[in-house]
Amino acid sequence: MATDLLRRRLLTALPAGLILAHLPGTALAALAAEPALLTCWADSPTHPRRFFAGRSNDIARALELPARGHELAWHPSGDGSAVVAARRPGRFLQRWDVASGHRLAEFDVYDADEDIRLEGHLNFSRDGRLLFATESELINGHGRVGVYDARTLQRLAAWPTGGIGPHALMQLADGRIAVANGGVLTLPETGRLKRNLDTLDPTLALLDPEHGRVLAQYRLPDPWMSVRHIAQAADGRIAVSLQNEALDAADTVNARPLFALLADEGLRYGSATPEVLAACGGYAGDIVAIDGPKGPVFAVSCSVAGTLALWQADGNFIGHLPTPGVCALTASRGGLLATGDGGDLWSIAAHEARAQAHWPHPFAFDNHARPA
Amino acid sequence: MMFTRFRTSCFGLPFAGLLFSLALPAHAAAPAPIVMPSQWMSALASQRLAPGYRQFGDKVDALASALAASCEGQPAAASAARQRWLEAAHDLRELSPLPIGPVLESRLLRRIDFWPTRPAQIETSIAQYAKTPANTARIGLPARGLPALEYLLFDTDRPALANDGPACRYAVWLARDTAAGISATVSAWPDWIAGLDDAEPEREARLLADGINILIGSTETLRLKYLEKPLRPHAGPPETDAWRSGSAHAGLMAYFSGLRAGLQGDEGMPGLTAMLRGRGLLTLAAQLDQRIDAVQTALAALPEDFAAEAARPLTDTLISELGRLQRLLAEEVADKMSVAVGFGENDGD
Repeated sequence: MATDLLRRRLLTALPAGLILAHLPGTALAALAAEPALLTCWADSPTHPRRFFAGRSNDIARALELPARGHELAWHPSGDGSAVVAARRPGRFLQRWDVASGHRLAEFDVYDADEDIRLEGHLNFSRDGRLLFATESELINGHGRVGVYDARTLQRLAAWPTGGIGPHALMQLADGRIAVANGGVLTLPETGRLKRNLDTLDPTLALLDPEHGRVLAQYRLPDPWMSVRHIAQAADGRIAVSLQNEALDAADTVNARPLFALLADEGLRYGSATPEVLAACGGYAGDIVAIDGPKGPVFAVSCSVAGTLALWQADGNFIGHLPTPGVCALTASRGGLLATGDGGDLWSIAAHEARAQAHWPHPFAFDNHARPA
Repeated sequence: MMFTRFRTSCFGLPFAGLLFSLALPAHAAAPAPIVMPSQWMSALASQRLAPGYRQFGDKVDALASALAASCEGQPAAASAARQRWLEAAHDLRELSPLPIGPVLESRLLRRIDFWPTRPAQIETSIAQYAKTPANTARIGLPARGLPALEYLLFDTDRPALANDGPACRYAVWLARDTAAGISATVSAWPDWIAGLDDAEPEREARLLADGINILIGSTETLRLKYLEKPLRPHAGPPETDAWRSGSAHAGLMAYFSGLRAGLQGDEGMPGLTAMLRGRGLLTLAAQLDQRIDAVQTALAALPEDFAAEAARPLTDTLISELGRLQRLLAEEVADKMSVAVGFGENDGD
């Protein structure tokens, strides 16, 4: 209790930047219990050699992965297992028992009856029976949603997403499956090299969850703004985070907000001043909705710029704060947690765009996380 | 040694417009001729790939002819077809680490080289072809190409083609379909090579990025697809590439031979190491040579039956050496050549 009081006084007395700048992580960690995350990480931020998935507070029992992991999620059965997808261009999905680190099921793209690769993201069906994962077929790069048995990871079907380079997907509250068709064509022979930056056509696609039919596609007015990640607030509002793939992204003429809302008329950018555009840069790594008493807030991690930016659900900008290397975002008990590839874990007061606490780690957090 | 061979031969190359946006380091005088990415690609294409695909196409044509003769009941033709397959498969493995230009654009290799082989889909396609031979569009890639032909020619658990008319006719169609794909690529090489003349700096940068990334990708393919994945513990025998024909070991050798040609070049043909030396990166080029030699040594030590448990230490060594080669390419080489790497582990999404 005394610690809580001290922490509250400290946090209200100091602006967030000052806290981060002047308090060592160990001191802040002593003031608040560190929240645990289900996430992926690598052994080094600069020369990663080994890759893991597990609880951030129980790294000894983490699952070692054959390559870098990306999105992951608890199995909806509540049996303590989770599934992780390889980072794109990815080869595997793995389901494991998180407490023990034991692998339970695996899918490898070479086991597919088609020439495919995984695109890094997954989502369970609402009834928990199926797992959806983004993939691309490798002849013409068409995006698809792979449909899997959620328990065995047996691949059952594949549905076209209506675009190229799908990345995140999410089953919305009404059951439809939203897919971020990033629009960027890459080929297996050349890894992640972008091959069609002059002909991009990114979309947010909505798919029928029974048969995968594309029901709607939404585009921004600027084809160089690649739709990558999706979030939905409890009130149903849908937002996306973006990456600027302009051939000359450094030119301020091409700068755009890295946040857009899906409204009646389609996708529209959130508000952002030139100062905000500059602070956010051109790369957003994640987005999450935080539902609080003051209404939903969307947080976007501007990873390359090292900025965490927040928008209200009507698109008005709230504020931003420095968070070097920030990427994974997750809502936990009404609050916002963020991690960075430098090993940082932050707790953020989302409505105030203010850091509340910070815990450093000796490894590189990967791009996505869930509450543990 | 590769450097010496190239240095004596590359003075005949045109050197106009050699300087491009990736300038030499200020402190490094070039001790060897500068090799532009377009020259690297042009030499690879004109001296190795264009003739290589022509020869490969001829061998697949010969395979189709042998299969057709086999279907007509000529007793010696089945054996000849198997031999033609082995020759064609060797060429495919030697060409496949360098999927540049028309091969990358047409996706040829992915159309004719699906792995692992899918017997069930091939059998389904045989029945489908027998029923509607004009409707081949529905035949999927897992049931096409040389691996499917290997299954039909060499699998001991299915009837011989000579005793299975529908399968034999399907095999003839498969070989002709494969040959047609190769033929389209063969005819595309001259224009692609001509288009490399007077490449603008932007094109040079793209060719360099493609070339280096392809070499990294093919190193990874050799390590993961042809070694790690098939040797991973699982029920049943290891499904190495081309195990039915007993040519898995030869396939590894051929693949690395092709990869090495892209890395180190050959007589009169510059490789990546010549480009490094041309930019004054002598130490890095020597390191790359060492890593390549280490892979070659590990590969040479591999027994014919490299999937056997007893060979595991040797395959582990080879996998490890390939990983070291890949890291050198993806980290130091890509960094020094200012190339964005498409296979790096330290960029997010």
